[in-house]
Amino acid sequence: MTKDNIFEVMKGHIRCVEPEMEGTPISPNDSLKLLGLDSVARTEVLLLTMESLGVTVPNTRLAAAQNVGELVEIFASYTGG
Amino acid sequence: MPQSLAITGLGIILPTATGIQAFEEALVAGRARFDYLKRPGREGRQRFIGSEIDEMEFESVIAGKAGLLRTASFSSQVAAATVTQAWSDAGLDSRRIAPERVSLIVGGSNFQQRHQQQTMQRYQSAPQLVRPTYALSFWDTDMVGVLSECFHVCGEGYSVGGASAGGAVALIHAARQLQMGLADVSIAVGPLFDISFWECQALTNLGAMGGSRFADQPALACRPFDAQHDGFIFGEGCAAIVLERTDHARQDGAKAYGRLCGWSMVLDGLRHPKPNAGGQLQAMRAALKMAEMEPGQIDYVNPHGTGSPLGDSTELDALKAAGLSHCWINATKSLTGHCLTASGAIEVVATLLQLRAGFCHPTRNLRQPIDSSFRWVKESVVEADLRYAVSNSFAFGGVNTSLVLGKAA
Repeated sequence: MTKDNIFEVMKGHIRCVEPEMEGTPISPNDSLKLLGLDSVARTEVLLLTMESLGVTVPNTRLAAAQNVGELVEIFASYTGG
Repeated sequence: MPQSLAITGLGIILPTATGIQAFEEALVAGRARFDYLKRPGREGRQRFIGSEIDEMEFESVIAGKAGLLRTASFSSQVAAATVTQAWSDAGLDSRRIAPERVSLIVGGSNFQQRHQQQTMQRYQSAPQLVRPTYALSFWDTDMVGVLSECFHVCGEGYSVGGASAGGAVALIHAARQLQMGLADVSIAVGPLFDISFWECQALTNLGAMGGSRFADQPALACRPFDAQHDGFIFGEGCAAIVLERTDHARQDGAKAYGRLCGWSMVLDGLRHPKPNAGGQLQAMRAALKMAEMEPGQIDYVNPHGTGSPLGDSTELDALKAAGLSHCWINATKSLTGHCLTASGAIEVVATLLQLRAGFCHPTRNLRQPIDSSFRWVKESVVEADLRYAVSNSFAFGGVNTSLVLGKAA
């Protein structure tokens, strides 16, 4: 899966978990926290993304990411994309 | 007579009706909608018969709460839509009632079984990915949390047990909230029991759930008190009841659907699911005693009446012994199916609407009553001048509840 695909999947889950984001553009530099997602919502987005991609990524690896773009990079390294 | 309690708001969602007006019309018409259960998680080796609500778009039910409702269970989503009706019906937005003076009681427990089954099925091969919101939604109390956020309820709030009598037990607790001065408005919810294949199969194996005699004709399977009954038939539904002290309702000019005059809850002291006429009789007597009424003053009985052969005949024995065999009697479950945790509340709504409008709804499939000495409302609606009614709900665990309801003064 390409990084663009992964980005689209993650954006879909962000909008699903946070319906108020519907219609708001999301860029790779955005951080989930600053987009207004609380800790439960952030974990939901990450787990739903793992489920969609068919991978399990340890929390320790994801915790280092500063923004959505870095999360996509980490997922890509697990999907071989 | 205990302190007079008034029902000032109602909400209901059923396969045949969304909203109180639609429900009243459906009762008059004797509408029902039975088919094979289709919701994912209900399919098994055999087809089960029941009554399922239409797909609804729940997310926009309450402004700004789509995210909250998306992570809530199906039962909680339906409850939010149902309480929205009752809340607005009682005028609670315009009346200035302090949030800490409103309490919320959800009837029954374990009403999210299919939610659990679906979660386990989905994550069976990847359990490490189970959603964190499942940690919130698996609790029955999550419905209390969801509703309390949607409606800003800050008094007491909890779910109560009571299984198939849960809706009635919730109303009894709502009444106690008012009696004890803990709230000025108390909302009782009979939640949608989200049954899964596992419970359907176990209840069928127990002999409690019917549908084998009319396995090829779903519309005929649900037939409380009829000679060809073979067990209860499952139904989806949710009802919400707003209860207040009469003087509190009056000072705000709130209209009342009717009055809760008396109630009781009595255990059989028996865990076995066999119904017990002694316990049922005791419950009816205790409710009448609390209401300071004689059986002769009751015009209408809304029985538990599930379609279980033993349950139906036991209840008729108890009604006779209670001196209530002169009353008009029908079976709301013949229209709605057995909504389990919601039934007690749904049947309070049905009773109040019939008292108010002066009719008794038809009992579907009641061709040959098992005891013709009762004043049956068979398959045609009956007009009747009704003032007082008894509503029964019984449950596994030896639970017997009885409510006395009166027409609005």
